[in-house]
Amino acid sequence: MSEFHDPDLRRQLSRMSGPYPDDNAAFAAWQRRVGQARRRRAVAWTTGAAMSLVMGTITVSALQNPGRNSVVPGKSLETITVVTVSIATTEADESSTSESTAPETIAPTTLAPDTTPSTVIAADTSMPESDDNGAAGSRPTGSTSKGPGPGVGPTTTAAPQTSEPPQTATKTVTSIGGAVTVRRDGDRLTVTAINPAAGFEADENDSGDRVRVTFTSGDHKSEITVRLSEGAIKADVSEKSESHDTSVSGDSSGDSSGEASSDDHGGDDNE
Amino acid sequence: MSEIEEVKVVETVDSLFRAHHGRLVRALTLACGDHEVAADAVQEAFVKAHLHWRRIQHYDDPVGWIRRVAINRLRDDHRRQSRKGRALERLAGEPPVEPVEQRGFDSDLPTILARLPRQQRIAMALFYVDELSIAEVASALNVSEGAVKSYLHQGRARLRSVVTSGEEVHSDE
Repeated sequence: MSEFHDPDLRRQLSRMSGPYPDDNAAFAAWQRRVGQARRRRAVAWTTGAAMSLVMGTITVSALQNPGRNSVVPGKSLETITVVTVSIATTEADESSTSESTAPETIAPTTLAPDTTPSTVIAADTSMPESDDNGAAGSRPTGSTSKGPGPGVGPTTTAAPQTSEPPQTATKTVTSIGGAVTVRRDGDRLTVTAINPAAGFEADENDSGDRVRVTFTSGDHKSEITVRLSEGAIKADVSEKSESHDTSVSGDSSGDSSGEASSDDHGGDDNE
Repeated sequence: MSEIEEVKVVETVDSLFRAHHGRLVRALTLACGDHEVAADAVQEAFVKAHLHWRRIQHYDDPVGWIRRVAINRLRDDHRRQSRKGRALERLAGEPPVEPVEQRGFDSDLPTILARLPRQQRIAMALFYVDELSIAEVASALNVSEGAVKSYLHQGRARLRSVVTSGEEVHSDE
């Protein structure tokens, strides 16, 4: 028996604490509150799971494409440079009145930031790697390779002539003896591809601002001369055979004189 | 949680609820003087017990945990009411009014009980109404058994005279 055992005090205090509550009503109310609490908890868990899923997706996406939203100084500068060149080319194409295939290959969407990869591709079309015969960077000098079809006359594949000519351009000049692709870098001309026709041998003479390529066969000799004249690429084609001689000249805008100036390879360069 | 586990939880908490709810509500009603507040605190404690039963079921005294949660809820409610009362006093600029903690009782016993320190009052309620042992009261209040004995001794000494006179009054009636 505890020293604090006091039946009288217990009875008085029990009477003060009121009657026993209705257990059934309390139980029902408790069940309702349990249900509400469980629903709240389920909603919280579902929301948390959804948020975790979204965050996880974003994280995985960011990890898989690390360069998409990151800033890499070197690459960004390169991209900006390429975009600038593309815009200049587009403007030059729009302002040009001469025939050119360039506008079709450089879309106006190059101004949009999200199309940077396509801009790079479009800009690359002016590079020598996109040679029409797939001879990227190669300069075949053999005489047995298959060359372009017969045709005489220069055909431009580069940006058109404008008041401020682009610093970089390529040009393919074809002749009976073969085709020559020349790239202009500033005031310097470089031969990027030589494709002799069947039975012809090529001989190259590159002097910086002037390129001369001679295709020779048993009874025919084609001589292509490309030079810079007033900021534009000028090409001369001379055909000599035992029967007769022909000479054709043209510039970078694709204009050509002469009756045999037809070539479909130049347009491929900018596609 | 599987369906079988859910049924076990419901059965266990259900049995605990039916066994302890009424007594705990009455004890806390005596401690705080408000049946609704006490019932709400006890009910919330049982809701938490249901939600966290996986953890609580491994405790030595799950009912003791529920009791402590209910008491803490009462303390929080008391602090909230006190802050609210002080804020209203500052806004009104009137002298503070003594809180009436024992509503519905008009004898001397409730008055004296209301003037007891809160911890002492809760100890008296748990011991005499909920019929807990001194160790259980100490566990519920998170104090030592000596402290509980001190609470009970002081509270009983202050209430005893009133109870005796009340018995005389009742016997006269």
